[in-house]
Amino acid sequence: MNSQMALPLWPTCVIDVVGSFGMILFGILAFWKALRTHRLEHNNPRYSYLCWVTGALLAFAIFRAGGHILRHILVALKLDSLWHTLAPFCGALNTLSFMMIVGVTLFMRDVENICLRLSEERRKLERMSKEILELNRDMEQIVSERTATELALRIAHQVRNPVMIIGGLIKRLSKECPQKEELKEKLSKILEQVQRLEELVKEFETLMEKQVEYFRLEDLNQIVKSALNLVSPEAEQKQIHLISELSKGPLFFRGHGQLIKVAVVHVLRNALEACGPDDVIHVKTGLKEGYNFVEIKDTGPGIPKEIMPYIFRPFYSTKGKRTGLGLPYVKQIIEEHRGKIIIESSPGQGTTVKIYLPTHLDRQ
Amino acid sequence: MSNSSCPEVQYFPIISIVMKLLLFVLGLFFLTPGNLWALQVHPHPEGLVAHEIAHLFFAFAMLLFAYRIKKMGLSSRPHWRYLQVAAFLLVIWNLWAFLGHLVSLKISKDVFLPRGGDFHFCQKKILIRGWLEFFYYILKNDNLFTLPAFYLFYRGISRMESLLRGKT
Repeated sequence: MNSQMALPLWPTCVIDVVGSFGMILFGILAFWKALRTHRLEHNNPRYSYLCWVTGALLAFAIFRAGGHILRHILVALKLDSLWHTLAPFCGALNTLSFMMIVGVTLFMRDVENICLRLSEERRKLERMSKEILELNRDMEQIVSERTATELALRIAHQVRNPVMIIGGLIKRLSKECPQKEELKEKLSKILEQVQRLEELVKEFETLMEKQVEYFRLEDLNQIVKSALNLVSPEAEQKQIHLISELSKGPLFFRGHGQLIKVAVVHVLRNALEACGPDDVIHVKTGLKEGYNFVEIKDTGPGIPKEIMPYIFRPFYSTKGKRTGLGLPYVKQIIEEHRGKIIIESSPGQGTTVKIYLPTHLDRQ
Repeated sequence: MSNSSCPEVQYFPIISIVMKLLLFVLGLFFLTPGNLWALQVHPHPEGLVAHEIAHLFFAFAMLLFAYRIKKMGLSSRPHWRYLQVAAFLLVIWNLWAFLGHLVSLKISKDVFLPRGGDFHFCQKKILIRGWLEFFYYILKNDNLFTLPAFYLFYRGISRMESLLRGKT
């Protein structure tokens, strides 16, 4: 650059003053908007974090731009000495605001981690609540089908005998009055209707076999394994020894695998809650007298004698905040599979829960 | 069974490197002890050096902020993109101001005209004798970056609020 020229400094000053005012204005607006956004979703850490970022930026705008404006004003008012006194403080605060921004910004990774975890947990909860809803729907369907079948069977049982008697009498009557053609024809029509009734009764009796729409062939061992996997981190955390002794072969039965898993997990969780460090929960499966069974035995404090008669009563809970629907629900699940649940416990000796599921649904 | 399938955000390696470097420097102080001067004084250039270092940290923090927005896949959303661009502008501003402070140290008082007299800085002119004065003149206008950056911060968060209110 060979030729010398002089450039006016006022454009620089205009840019400085306008820019400084603008910084403060937009700094305030951004912080205000961040606060409003945070109020709209105060549970979202991301918006809380943005409040901190914009707050730090506002501090930066006030200390830096405010300092620049103050300098222009003081120098214009011929108060240079005052400015020289204040300048180091403005500069120091300006530098400090830089470091505030640095500090806040370095937290972004953690905030994003929290956001990711929260959204993952929310998704998990939504998935679980959907699963629970589906299970409840299945359970309701199973109960309603079972009720309908029982009603049909009762009707069939009540109707079968009179129909058989009527049928037998009509047959005898038609044999005794062979000469009256007109009467014989009428009797044969009545007999025809009676036979239709008998077929209807037989159809009712087969309903029980059809009641397995929601039931599939399941392996109890697999269900218990999956339930154990689910509760093992909890057992590990509480230092409870979880010992499994599953039968070597598969334990097939017809049922709703997910509901049985819910029942087994519930019993296991009850045992985990009752037990303390170094206690043992022993889980055993097997086949006994046409029933698949799972036995959950713990070395916890046991159930007090006075509570034992009420453990399957709905809304009866010893755990305060619980609904008291756990064990009654477990019992209902098992009974819908025509199985049985037996609880043996004595204080200080631990508790043993035995769940029996029939290998065939027609077994009562 | 794992406790959570939540994807872990990758650790930013630069932070770890900076921390290790700081520890190394600290280690050198302990391993090579010299004379101890208690209550060390903080003479004039120290403030400027601290300020210059703060500019570099600020630039790094804004770069990190922009990187995290990209890394989290938030840059595809317009409101976060505003914040990302604002962060980039502040990175440029910091480097710009860093250079501006260095250049202003080299500028002689003689280049401001008229010399002496009771003139406000804004009433004066700068004599462009070479590249140094020219750079000083250009670098002095650093608000050309800060103002748009602050506007974009405001715009991004304002849009975020509108989205939450379901206005857009």
